[in-house]
Amino acid sequence: MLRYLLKRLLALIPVLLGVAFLIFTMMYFTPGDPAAMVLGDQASEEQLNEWRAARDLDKPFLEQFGKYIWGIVSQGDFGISYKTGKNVTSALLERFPTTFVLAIATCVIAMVLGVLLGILAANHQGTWIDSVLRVFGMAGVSMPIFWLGLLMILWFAVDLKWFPVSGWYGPKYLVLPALTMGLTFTASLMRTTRSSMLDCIRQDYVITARAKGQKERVITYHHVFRNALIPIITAAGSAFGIALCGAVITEQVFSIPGLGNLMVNAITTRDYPLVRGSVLLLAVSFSLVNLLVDLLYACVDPRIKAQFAGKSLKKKKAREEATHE
Amino acid sequence: MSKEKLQIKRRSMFGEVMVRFLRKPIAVFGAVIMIVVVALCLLAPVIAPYDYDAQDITRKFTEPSQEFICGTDNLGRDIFSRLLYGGRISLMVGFVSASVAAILGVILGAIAAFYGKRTDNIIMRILDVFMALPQTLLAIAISAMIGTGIKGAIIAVTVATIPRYAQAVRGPILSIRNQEFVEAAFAIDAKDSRIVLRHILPNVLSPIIVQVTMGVGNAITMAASLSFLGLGVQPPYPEWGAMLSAARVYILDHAYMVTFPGVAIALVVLALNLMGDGLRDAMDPRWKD
Repeated sequence: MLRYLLKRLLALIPVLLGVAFLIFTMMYFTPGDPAAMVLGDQASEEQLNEWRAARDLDKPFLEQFGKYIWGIVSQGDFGISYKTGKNVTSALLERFPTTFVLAIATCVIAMVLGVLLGILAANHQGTWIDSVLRVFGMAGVSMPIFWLGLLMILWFAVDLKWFPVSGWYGPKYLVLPALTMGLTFTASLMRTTRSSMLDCIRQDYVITARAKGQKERVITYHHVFRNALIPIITAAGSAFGIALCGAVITEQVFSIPGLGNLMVNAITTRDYPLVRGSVLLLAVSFSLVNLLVDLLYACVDPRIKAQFAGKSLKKKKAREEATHE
Repeated sequence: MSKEKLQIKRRSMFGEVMVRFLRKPIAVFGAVIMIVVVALCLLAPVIAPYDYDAQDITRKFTEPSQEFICGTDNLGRDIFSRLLYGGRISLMVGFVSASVAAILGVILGAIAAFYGKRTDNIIMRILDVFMALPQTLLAIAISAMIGTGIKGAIIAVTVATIPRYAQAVRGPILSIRNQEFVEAAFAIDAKDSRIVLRHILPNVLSPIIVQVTMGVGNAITMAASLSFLGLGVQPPYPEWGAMLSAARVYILDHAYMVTFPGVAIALVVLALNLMGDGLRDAMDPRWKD
């Protein structure tokens, strides 16, 4: 298992390097000269050159990229913001917790509601409950997040005055944004849960359990749900990853000072080091969450765990045989 | 009697699918909405009571009434007319980027799966990099690079969605590639292009069609999200997301300005999803519950 973890972590490195390269290249080839943009029209050629030299912008492309990566790897240094002149890393670290909290809250809502409603729909397949939930699921999947957010503001903040319209000053401010994203993911998680449950409900062991007179509740949660977990975990994991990045839009709707908000502002002010840093940080968290999901499979499903063990055993055997010969 | 049976047998794959599709009321409902919306948008110059850019400052913030079905916005422009013209942009962006992404994605996926080994490895590792970023984030990053505008939005959405299409066709093609009829085609020395186009692709066509149908809705939402963030289509154009973005400021006093563009997006995406679901069931009867 540990070997598998190490292997996966190693495999992640080239992907993340690729992402960094992709984003660095994109920002590098963006039209416009950052020096002229920041210093304004009055700046002399000398000042411009000096500014560029201070940020290594006069170096060749690959050298710049190499320095950038080395800075991140060796010191966690994402460079310096064009606009504020401050360290990007500290700006990122300041904003990341907000986004993270929002993503966690979203996921909790989506997982609890989505899984429960999905089980409900699967258990009442073909009845009116199923139809109502199906309509809800379809509507939830089709709603653009930013519009749902605006509607939430309209209903719960403007009309009912239950929650504040926007901002980020306490737990109360978390409710609407988390609900907005949470409901969207609830819909997709519910659909996954339902179809995964239905796949398992027809298995022989469920019929056996029924035949021996097992209670329906136990059948649902013990026999069916546990076997239906894998796709549900996949969906929940990707929901968390997408919530981290979907926060970009939600934060904009509710004016939450998170990472997404930082990124969008950086894009509009063309503060490329900041854009680069925030996209990269989101990509890293997204990939790590996906890795975590894969590891969870092994915890949940003994068959997959056995596969890992089996593989490494087989390899060990093969290696031993090879050395013997 | 026997004649009728013969005719049923002669029905093409397309006819077969259509019959099954039409038996699903929800899917047909989605298709009808889509047809109506597309027709309304195409006929915008005929139907729209006002020009999308016609301002009348004296009549700004008019609540929905008989004269202005959806009210007017902050510049006194008729929201209904703007929705019709904006639909042309939103739908165009959705259809164009979904189909271009699907074509490029299928080509990439097919090449990877068909040639396998190193080709497959190289293509899929590159796509892995793109897929390490969630679609919306990738689209945002791309549009930050190429700038705003309709073209920018289309390119951003297209590039962001290509990897999913490639991944979606790769799996099925890998399994079909090893079947006997492909081997037979190799045996009679058919060209690679012929094997892929005539023997393999028709067999993965149904998942592609379903993916594209839902992909159009996804593309419309993504483009609208970009405009909402101020990165995609820009204000003078009445793209639905851009309209929402502009209306946001007035949400406290003039909620109808936010309601209608949002309803338009949600309705179209819902219709496309319903159609996609219906098509999937119709094309692959095994999927039926």
